[in-house]
Amino acid sequence: MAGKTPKARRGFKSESATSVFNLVSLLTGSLYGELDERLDFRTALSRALKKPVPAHVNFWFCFGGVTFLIFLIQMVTGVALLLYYRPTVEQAFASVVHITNNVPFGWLVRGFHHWGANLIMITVMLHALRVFFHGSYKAPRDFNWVVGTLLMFALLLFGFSGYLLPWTELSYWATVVGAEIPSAVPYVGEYLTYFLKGGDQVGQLALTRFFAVHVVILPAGALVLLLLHFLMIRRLGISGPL
Amino acid sequence: MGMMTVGDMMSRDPVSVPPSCPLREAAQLMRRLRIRSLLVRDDSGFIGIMTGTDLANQVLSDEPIDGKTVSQIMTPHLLTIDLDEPLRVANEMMAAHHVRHLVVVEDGQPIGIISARDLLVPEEDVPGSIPFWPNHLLKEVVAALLTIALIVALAVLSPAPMLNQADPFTTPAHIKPEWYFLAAYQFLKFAEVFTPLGEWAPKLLGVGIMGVVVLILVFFPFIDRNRDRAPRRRPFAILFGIVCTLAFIGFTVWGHFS
Repeated sequence: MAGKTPKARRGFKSESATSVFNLVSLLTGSLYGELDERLDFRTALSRALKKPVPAHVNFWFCFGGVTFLIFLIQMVTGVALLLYYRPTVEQAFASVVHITNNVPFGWLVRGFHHWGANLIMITVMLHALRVFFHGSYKAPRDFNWVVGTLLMFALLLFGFSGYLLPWTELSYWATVVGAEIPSAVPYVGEYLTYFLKGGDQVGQLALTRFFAVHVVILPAGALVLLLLHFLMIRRLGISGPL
Repeated sequence: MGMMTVGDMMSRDPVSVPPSCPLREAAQLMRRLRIRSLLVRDDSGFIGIMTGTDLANQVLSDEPIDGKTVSQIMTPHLLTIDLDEPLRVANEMMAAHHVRHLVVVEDGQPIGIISARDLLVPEEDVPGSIPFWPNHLLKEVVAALLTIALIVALAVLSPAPMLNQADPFTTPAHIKPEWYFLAAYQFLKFAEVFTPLGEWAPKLLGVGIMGVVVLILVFFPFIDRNRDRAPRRRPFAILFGIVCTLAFIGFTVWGHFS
């Protein structure tokens, strides 16, 4: 494939311009075929691959990428769990038990999601520590640090909201305690706690809200922040050696 | 390294000659050193620059070259650019002033020359860099595979726990949050020490102090205006980072055992 130039392709096509070929080149075309002729993906790919990286970059610099990898694992396993999970007070616990005991490999997918949630906290903290002690948060990367800290708090909220979903003893009471924290804010605190729980008690509405936050609101927000995070570091590059 | 600076691509240690230097001598020096510009310096400091273009114009003017000195054909002022400016700015300055050489300065002192030719070097040939593919990606792939191996091992060897179903009418004896909230949890408990200030104090001060720490963390680049990145030249920020890290670990361990 790599040896074929777009020119050779055109020659081939004029000999047997079949719709089948067009269909196949639509699939392979993102790199070498029809789409590439129009959009020049090949140049973009080659520029991306040749992009220079400072030679001082070592394994400490991988924690951002590893954090993103775990984020992707959480998205895939999260969607898989979503296919079986039922977000109601009556059925949430039973559906998690069902996933664990009956769904094929359900225990494994839940295990990935559980351990991914714990590991991503470690990797994101190590990433933040590397950036901090390396002084990489300084201008011109200062706004990227702000986006990064927001992403870290988004991950903490992922953890907090996801913890309630299995509706276990500990997750219920940890939420009851945790939901009281915003009430310390002057003037609006009581309203915040009420809004979070959807009432005076942690009940069905709290579960519904935490579910919505965990599977829609936070993922959408985090994806926007991730895009900003990556676009900015792509534009500014990795900070130089100390 | 998306944003390359003038310092990355410049030629270091600019060569300078006195204004009285004969043209022939200057031209020979440029050919020997394979450079296309000379800085002109007298007792008062740098006073101008002479480039290959200046020499070519002199030849075309049909005036005899012998007896002429550098000071007669040099450009009697210097266009300077800071070491940290991106290459784009060098490009714009050259276009705006119709020149092909800029003097690179650090703290006002000339330390190099950047020429139009330096701007042509392909990005992937930057000195001190490795290509993303395959050198850097190899590291990332190794880290990714180790991560996946760790998650698989943990999920198989230590499956996600299944606790008892929630019962709003029975409060369990020990409720502790997940480990990453233990530090905050323990700090809120620690805030009980503010009770002598009043009933309101523990909760408000506990949450308030944490809120302030979070705000400092988020906006840290705008608080720490020191541009130096070397740890030895920013002792305060490094100390702050170590104290915060140790406090987080300390409160987490305390929360675990309390």
